[in-house]
Amino acid sequence: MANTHRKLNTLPVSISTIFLLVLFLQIFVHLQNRDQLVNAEELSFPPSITAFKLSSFGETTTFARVLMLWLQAYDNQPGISIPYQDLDYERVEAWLSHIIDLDPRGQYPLLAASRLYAEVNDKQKQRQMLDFVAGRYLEDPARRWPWLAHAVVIAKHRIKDTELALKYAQLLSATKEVENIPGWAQQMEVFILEDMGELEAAQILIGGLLSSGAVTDSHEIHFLKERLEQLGAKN
Amino acid sequence: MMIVMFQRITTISQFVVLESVRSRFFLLILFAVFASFIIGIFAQSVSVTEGDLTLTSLVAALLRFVTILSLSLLIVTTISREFQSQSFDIVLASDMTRTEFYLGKLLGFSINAFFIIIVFSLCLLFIAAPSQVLIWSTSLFLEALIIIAFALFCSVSIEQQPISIFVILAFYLLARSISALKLIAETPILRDESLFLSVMPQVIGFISMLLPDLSRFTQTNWLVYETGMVNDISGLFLQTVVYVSLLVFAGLIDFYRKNY
Repeated sequence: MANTHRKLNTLPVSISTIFLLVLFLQIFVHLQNRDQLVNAEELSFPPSITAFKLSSFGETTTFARVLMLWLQAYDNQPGISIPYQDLDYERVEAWLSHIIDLDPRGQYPLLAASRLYAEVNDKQKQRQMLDFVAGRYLEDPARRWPWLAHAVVIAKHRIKDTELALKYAQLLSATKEVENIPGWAQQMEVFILEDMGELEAAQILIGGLLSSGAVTDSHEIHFLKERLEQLGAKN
Repeated sequence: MMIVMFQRITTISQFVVLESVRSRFFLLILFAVFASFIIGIFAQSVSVTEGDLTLTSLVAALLRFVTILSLSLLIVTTISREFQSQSFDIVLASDMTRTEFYLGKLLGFSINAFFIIIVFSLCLLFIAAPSQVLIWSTSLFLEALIIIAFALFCSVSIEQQPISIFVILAFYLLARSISALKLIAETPILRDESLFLSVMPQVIGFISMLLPDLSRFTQTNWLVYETGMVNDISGLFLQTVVYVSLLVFAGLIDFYRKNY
């Protein structure tokens, strides 16, 4: 069978030379562009959820995940790094909200909200993210409880707002009938009340939990009974 | 006579598969699998959480798109080359009917689709539950059959390759978004009294009657969240049979009308 290609050394020298020159020129231009001063691009508001759904052509789950990766990396643009806390959190929240709407079963947006964007040194922004997590919790408590539980911890120990922590903890215990939520998460309200000095309220809650039969684990029941006795002694 | 017809159809289909093998089409498919996994693994590595789910969803979406795109391009270029090289004229000169030729091509490309999807399914078994992979790949095969039938129809009716490919891709994207478009048209946020907005729901409704709802096919959620059930694809069988039949007969009508 005849060879369909000629050897490289049959090429005109001018063609090969110019090709190599242009190739080096391309590399040079690329390296030059890298050193140019880069202005950080501000995060824009997202397009409407309708636009997103149309753009995804039915692949909403995949589209949501790709968007999440893009949003997560937004703090790291070519040549420049933007701290999370310099981002406009109204816009971050809008993006996260749309991503959840595209893929309601995905947990990435709420993890990002509670563990990335809420871990900044700006209490107002922290509150905003935690409120966002709490606002979306009731749509799917069985899957979203870890993020609300983390919100309780951040509210109590980072923002040091026990009232806020109690509000989130009450939201967790209000959904105690949901099977997936572990006992310790449902009982966070009790411990926050105790920390607030609301010993009687904490006692009532534990008593209610034990008498309702919601707690079935024997070790947990024993732990709660001990706690009840300690609260009684303090009170 | 039916046996002769069946033999001719299978002969044509064998040549379609043989040609795909000789043109290294399946090597391209293997490369596409490799590239999809590389992209998926990259996305997985930068994910803070749900990395495995991100890998699965991205690979599944890419493989679905590769299946449709590769089959469309294969069909358009193959049919176009046959018409241009006049090998089709030789077939016409024989006692093979146009129906046998058309159905042979359809069967051949369907067999190609089957092999592609088998390869993809085997790869997906590493990253998704076997039962879901089975449901997903069955649905992808049904989706591919619709696109094959449409691509064959376009290749025969439209003699220019770029226009055929454009029409096939436009059809595919529209069929995947038609249910979303219908929902949006029926529930407008703005209370606009314009003629355009008042007529749009009817227009989109009419278009949706002529298109298969591909958003119900091959859902990534099945693989990612293991929500696929046999009931999900049982309805898709009927849609596929009806729509493929519609396209085959439309294609045959156009094929028989042409003077070669």
